[in-house]
Amino acid sequence: MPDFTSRPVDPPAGWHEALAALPLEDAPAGGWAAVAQRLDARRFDPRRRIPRWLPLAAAAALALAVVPAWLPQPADNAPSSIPTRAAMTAQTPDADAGPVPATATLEHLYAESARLESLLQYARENRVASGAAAMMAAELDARLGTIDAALMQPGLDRSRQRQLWSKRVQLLRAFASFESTRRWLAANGERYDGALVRVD
Amino acid sequence: MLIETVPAAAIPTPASGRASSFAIEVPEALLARARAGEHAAFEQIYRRFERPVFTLAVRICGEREAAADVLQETMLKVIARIGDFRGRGSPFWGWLRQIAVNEALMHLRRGRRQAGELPVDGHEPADEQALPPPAAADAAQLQRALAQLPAATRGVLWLYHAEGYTHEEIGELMQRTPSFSKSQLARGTRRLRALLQIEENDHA
Repeated sequence: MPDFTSRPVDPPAGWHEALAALPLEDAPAGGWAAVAQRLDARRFDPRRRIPRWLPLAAAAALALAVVPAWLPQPADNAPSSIPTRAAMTAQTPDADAGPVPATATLEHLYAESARLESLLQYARENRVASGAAAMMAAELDARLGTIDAALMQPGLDRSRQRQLWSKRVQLLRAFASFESTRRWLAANGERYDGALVRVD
Repeated sequence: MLIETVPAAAIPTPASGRASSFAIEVPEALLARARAGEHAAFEQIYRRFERPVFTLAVRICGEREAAADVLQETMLKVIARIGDFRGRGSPFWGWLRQIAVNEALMHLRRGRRQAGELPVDGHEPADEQALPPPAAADAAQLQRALAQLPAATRGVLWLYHAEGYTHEEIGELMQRTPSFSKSQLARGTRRLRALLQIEENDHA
């Protein structure tokens, strides 16, 4: 039986040949799933180079400055078991929806963000939005867009990424809370901007 | 550095004329679908370039975990900027590779591993054109030897020998001078040869 170990090995014809002959490395499994999750989270659309939310953002920012002060106080006869409108609106749209744990990893944040996005898809009801509520929703969308734009910047270190993703998760929580409240009020025949049309 | 289109003549190719592992043709129809935002098209592009990007990142960064990050960031940037790629006779893979190289080098800089380079002593005999030792034909030995080089030195070697970048291009990519690239190549090649000869003697 021939001894293959003692067979002389021809040197490669050059360094390129030697390096090019190295086998390609296999990337860890699940790489595409991670990229797809981040794409979903960013709701990325490559055709949209100029964000559509820009004009809405200006209007919504103005609305947010005035709408909360006009919102009605809690109804005196509201059943105690049902949350009052003021209590609910106090959580939306800008309230801190709970801090993100300092130990949350980027992967946790991606997953949480994707989960909240899915929840929002069910919670959002654009067909019955009142003017002020629609503007609030647009403002939240705008803030989300700003965070997403920041996340698309090259050269972000993990710490900055984590900071932005934490903000994103917090905003999405507030957004989900706002949309749920809006739906709850609609189901009870109330609207966010009832005060806007009241002139007394 | 990120450019919208890499002119065909400016795409670095290895001196031996052998193609880079990135040299994968992508049909125009697939690119059009990706530009239109089709998720399935993004996935097809990802699958085609996953291994070349990951391999380049492993060679430059030296760690699989870091390479996985580079792969993910590269692909997100490719998808985000695919509308910027105009082609005009230059291949898509050249554009994608440029993003991957930038991302890997940025990762090195962020990790402050750029300091990981061989010291220059002013005497750099240009022996990189000399034949590699026989041990270089053994993939396992060559990978072990490469892993022992400082990250920046290994990056220069890989970009020059495997991907065909010039010293001027490497100097610019690494935000250094062409002389830095030349000296790292000379010293890195010498160190690689020495490491391989040690392995060869150990196996003799």
